[in-house]
Amino acid sequence: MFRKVGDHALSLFFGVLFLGSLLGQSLLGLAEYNEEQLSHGSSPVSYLDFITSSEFIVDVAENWQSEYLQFFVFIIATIWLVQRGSTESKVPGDDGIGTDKEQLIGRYAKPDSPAWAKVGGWRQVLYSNSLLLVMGAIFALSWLAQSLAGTVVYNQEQTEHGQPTVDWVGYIASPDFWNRTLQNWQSEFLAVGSMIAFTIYLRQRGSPQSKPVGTPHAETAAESE
Amino acid sequence: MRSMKTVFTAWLGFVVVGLAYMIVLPLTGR
Repeated sequence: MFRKVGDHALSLFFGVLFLGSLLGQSLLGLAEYNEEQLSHGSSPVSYLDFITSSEFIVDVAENWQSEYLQFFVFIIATIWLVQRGSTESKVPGDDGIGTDKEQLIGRYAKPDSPAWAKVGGWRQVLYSNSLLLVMGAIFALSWLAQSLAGTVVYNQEQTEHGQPTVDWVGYIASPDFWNRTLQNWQSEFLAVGSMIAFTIYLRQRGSPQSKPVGTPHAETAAESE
Repeated sequence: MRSMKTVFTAWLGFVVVGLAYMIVLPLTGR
């Protein structure tokens, strides 16, 4: 199936990193959870119990949603907003969704263009926004997952302390939900903002995330092509 | 061509399965 594994090294590399990190999180998360259980005089839980618990899921989901939100916002903002000199930006003046000719759609499509780029109507509109739609859907669903798992965890804690429980609507208005949410968002926006600014003046030879080393600072990424 | 489709499908599959897992389990109250 994979004629040349090297053609897919980047996605395989990140796949291995993802699975390794998730496995590590689950093992260390279990260790921490069981330490707490013992300190409260409760009995430790099994690995299977832990990875199917809302405690584990809320921690995974809150990180997922913020990563996908980051890409969602980045994709949509870079359509219209530019940063002169940044590799992450289009050239000032090129902002906007582009012409059909630039985008190779409709009668400007090439013989080997994707089928939905060649046709008009709703299929072309849908395909023209498919990356944003999928990233946005994953953001929304993982944020939903965070809220559902968060409700369960929050109510377990409330019950342990003899406090009243809340329903889902009550939970998404709670400081706990927004604290979990915003602590992840702030780091994503910091990382994206600094990446946009740093690539004006800093370089990494050989990386497509950087301008070629000798490119003038004021030159925005796409200009050098 | 086919192996690119495999890469795409595998990643989308990871995400879809992960989302379903993280939505369904909390709904059972676990």
